[in-house]
Amino acid sequence: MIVVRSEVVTVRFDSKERKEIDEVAQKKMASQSEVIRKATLIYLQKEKEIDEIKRIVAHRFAQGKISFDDLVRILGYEESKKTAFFVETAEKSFQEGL
Amino acid sequence: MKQAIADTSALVSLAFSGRLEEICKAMALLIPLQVKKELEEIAERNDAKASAAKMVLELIKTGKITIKNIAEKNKVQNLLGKDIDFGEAECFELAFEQKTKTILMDDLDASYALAGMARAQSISIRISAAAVIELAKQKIISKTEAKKSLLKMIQHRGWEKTTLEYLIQKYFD
Repeated sequence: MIVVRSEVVTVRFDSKERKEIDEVAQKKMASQSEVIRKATLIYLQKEKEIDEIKRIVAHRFAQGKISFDDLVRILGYEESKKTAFFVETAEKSFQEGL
Repeated sequence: MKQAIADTSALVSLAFSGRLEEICKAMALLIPLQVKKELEEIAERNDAKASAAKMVLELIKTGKITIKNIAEKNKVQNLLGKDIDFGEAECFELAFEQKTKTILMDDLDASYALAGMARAQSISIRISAAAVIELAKQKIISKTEAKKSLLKMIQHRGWEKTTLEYLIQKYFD
């Protein structure tokens, strides 16, 4: 069980992961829940930043300021295909309605 | 009258636009049962999305949004995947069974995952904004009103500074 502010969340780890958490906790002289909480917050922050980058890049692509090739260089091929699909779908929605 | 299948996210967005009732009068919105269940779950929360979901549920209750049963439930199971949840899978199957040519869906991952199959069945996936645009195209609301409604939608959704905001400027300014 870890305590996140006043809310309690149950998280399951296998024994190898649990051991690694324990090792980091001992090294940092922190509790396991502190390590898990910090790791979760770092992950969430990173995800937020990635989303922000994707949002900016998609915006520039929709404006025609960057090409699909540039998009691929920034986001990778699969993510770029998804972004291009979204821009195309949104454009069609605005142009044609239903 | 134009007809579309709408998923949960699209209906919540349209409720946020403040135009859902007019949309229901101007076009036939169909949903599978799972979408109603998802709306009921959202309605239990205590946030802005819950109020939007309650608004949609009221339109379902009064028959302005129609629930349709899925005939081939096994096909829905086959569609489920990392990016496609039960509601989205039911929407796609319902569009196929009802021969409806448009699905309104705001979940990018799900619509991308369904895009190939949709193309093969000549089904168009549109974002919810399309229904507001359609109201303007049918001259039920003015372009200014449509723009205002779309801005309201993206504000509630937290979609400011996104491609959508850019497209609103591009098509309305």
